[in-house]
Amino acid sequence: MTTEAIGLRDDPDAVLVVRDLHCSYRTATGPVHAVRGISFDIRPGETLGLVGESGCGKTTTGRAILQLPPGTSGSITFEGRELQGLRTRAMRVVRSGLQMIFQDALSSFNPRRRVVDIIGEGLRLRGVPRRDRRAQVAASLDQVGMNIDIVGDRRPHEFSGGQNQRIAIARALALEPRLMVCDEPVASLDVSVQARVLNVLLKVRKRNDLSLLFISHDLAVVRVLSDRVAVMHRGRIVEIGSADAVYETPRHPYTRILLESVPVINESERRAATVGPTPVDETWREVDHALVQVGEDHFAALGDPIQEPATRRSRATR
Amino acid sequence: MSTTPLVEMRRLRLDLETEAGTAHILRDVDLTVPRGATVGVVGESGSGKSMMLRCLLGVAPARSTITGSIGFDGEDLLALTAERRRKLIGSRVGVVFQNPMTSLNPVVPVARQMGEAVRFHQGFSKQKARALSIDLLGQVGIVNPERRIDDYPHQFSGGMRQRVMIAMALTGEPELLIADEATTALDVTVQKSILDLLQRLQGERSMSLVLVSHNLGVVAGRADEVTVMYGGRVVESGPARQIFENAAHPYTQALLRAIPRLDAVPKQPLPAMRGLPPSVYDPTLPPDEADRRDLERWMSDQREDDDDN
Amino acid sequence: MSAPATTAVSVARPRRPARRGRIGFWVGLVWLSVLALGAIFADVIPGLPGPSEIFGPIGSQPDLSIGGLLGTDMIGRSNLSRILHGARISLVLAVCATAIALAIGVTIGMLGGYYRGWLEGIANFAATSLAAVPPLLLLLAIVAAIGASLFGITVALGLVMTNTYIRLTIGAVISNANREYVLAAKALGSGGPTVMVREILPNLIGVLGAMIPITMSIVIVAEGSLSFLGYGIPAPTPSWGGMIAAGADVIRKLPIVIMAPVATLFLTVYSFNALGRYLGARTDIRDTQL
Repeated sequence: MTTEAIGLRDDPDAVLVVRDLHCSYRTATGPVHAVRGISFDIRPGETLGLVGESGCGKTTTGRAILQLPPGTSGSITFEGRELQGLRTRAMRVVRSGLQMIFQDALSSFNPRRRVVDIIGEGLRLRGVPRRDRRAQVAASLDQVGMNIDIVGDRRPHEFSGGQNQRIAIARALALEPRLMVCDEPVASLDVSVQARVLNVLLKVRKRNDLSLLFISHDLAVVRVLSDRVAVMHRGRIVEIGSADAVYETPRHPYTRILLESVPVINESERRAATVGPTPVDETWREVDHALVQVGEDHFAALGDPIQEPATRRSRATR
Repeated sequence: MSTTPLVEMRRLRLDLETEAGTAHILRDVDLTVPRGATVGVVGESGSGKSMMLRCLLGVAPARSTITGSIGFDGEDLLALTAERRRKLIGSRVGVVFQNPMTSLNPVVPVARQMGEAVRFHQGFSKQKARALSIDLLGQVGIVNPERRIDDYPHQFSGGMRQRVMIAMALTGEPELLIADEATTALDVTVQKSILDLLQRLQGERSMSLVLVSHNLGVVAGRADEVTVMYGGRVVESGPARQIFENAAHPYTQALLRAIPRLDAVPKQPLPAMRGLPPSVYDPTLPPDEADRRDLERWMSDQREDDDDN
Repeated sequence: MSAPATTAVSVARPRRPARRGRIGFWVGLVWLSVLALGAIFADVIPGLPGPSEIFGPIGSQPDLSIGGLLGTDMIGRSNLSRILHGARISLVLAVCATAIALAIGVTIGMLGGYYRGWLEGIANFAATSLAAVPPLLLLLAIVAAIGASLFGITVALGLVMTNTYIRLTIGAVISNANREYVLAAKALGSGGPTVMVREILPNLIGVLGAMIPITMSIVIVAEGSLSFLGYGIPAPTPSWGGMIAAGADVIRKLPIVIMAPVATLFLTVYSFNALGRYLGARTDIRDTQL
């Protein structure tokens, strides 16, 4: 399926390269193909926003990158190293370079642990001795605007959602990762808190030259953070390119529908152009189309229909 | 049609007894819902908007003290007995909540749940109730309602479940429809279709519509009037256009600035707000004084140097 | 639907003290301490005769002498002394049998619940098999095999209680293994055993802790039943169950002989339960304090 390589920029320095990734899993009612052949790459210091509605496969993609669980087929290369099929022990070594933050930060913490232990856990697993750990934990917390002496001995349930999310970011940073997968990190936060967490991410990203895979259903949030954007629908990428291109001149009908549906304060925020080629009306909902280049660093699934060999259509995963 | 507002809430105060002291959940909340209009109530968590609704619906928590007045079609709900209140607003107010899975009984087919609601409000026979239910399901956009009515809630998608909830809320032919974070858990395209549906129904039935949300975008462009709540108080209210284009209160202004925009200059820090909604646990201060001090404190927080921003 | 004013407070609220069960806790603690001390020092309490010593007249009423505090039984032995010596048996039994059940049950349950697949199958099979046999029969069978000594009965009781812990652990591990904090731990680099011991196990303490006093109580009563049936700790070592069995014969004439062990048994079981309930409530980390 070399057509899947369309949309990949051939950059030898890329931190992450995903090629033709498929993720399926078994349920009581048959196999569910959550991800059906997607490809993208992320460069150092770059943020790729992965947007789509529930069931599109974006969360599954994020987890597959961390191999938790691995994808069913395809290739995931991190810093040049193939992750798919990597043995557990070898994967654990790679792990520190790849971190993740979740939508509900609180549930990603062991409720019985203190903050300082939560953040230091990764360091402990790496063999960093206790006294050095505290200093590194303090540095991590400092990056997210928190003071270890004030928050270190507390437990997660004593903090608000936004504070917990910052603690989660600090935990990820402690291992000095190259890439961080953010799975809807601000979805359940109030607007005011969301803004603070996003600002923390912006700052932290710049300072550490961190690459981000930012998964979200909120297009406005993604706009703030992302250099490039990929739109997923039913397990496939229907549009991918630079954020400016996708937001200002969306080509795929689904992208346009998404942009049109976002509730905005002022209609003027929506600058989506509506000109440009589209495939035959509505068939894109049922049939997969190949990605074609529609601009410099801009690709959309407007090409010929793809015949998937005996693959069941992806169903919503929830 | 009378021009008195359908709902007129005046100086509503709710105090709740807790182990940590008396919590002033709502402080002097005023809210007006004109007939046939759409009112948006926006606020973050802890703003009190849910509590305010509960007062209106008569389901405020036990051990709470409520003062003020809630006028519904001229009558003060707080002055009525629970029985009278239920009779008065029972079929005249419909509510749609956030999570349709927990609002609908998962083990009962939709037909029975809706049928019960219809017969409760209108006293029809079973067949008539079923026919009306099918009709309502069709009105809210469910395809093949005569087949789907016998399905269970889990056989509907999230958006469709919400439509079922809306249909149920309409069974009493309400004059007021309240949507309490009704679209928060839904995908953005589904959210749009539900909001469009609510607006259409409102127009068709000349209902008043109250949209409660923490998402200002949901309210913008759909509400005639907007009330902004923060820390149990109303900080600003007025015509929607005015609020969104020319907000007067610093909190509203800060809130609007903090919302990420679709046309944002990417990678610029958002003008975030510092601090959290004020604690509602200071029993020593009279509400007005607490008001002023909280606002002062909040505003000075904003001015502090903050390395997060 | 946020509850009022429980969101958006960044300073920790003082935790609400568990008011429920405080009295029971203290009553239980006092009773168990007294009992334990009495059992440990039973041999050296001045004036307390040995459990088999014929100390006074048959069936005397409780008087103010130490030996005769609870009267004598039908052979003239001091009831108090027999109760205290019996307590040794019962308490040792309770602790050791529960420990056996915990050790075996949690291990099997954890492995089965974490790795799933055929390991879970084995764990379930073990639990179901143990549960399928009527406990009394199982007890008797094991005792017959190993011998009716303290060791044998302890092992037997421990094995009988194991299936509860297997089931409890499997369920708790499965529900915890999918929680995000486990995923996060794996993302940080934790391997299987590390995750099981450091992440999941501590979160089982609440669930298991609630079960432990119950198990202890059941074990003590079960020993009593065994003795009552004649299959318990062999005479002359006193045990509460044995005393109850013997006392049943003379219940009309010497009611104290049976009442004393019954009351002691009751108080002890109550104490274990009260302790367990109170401690369970205290150590439960709740997330409602957001």
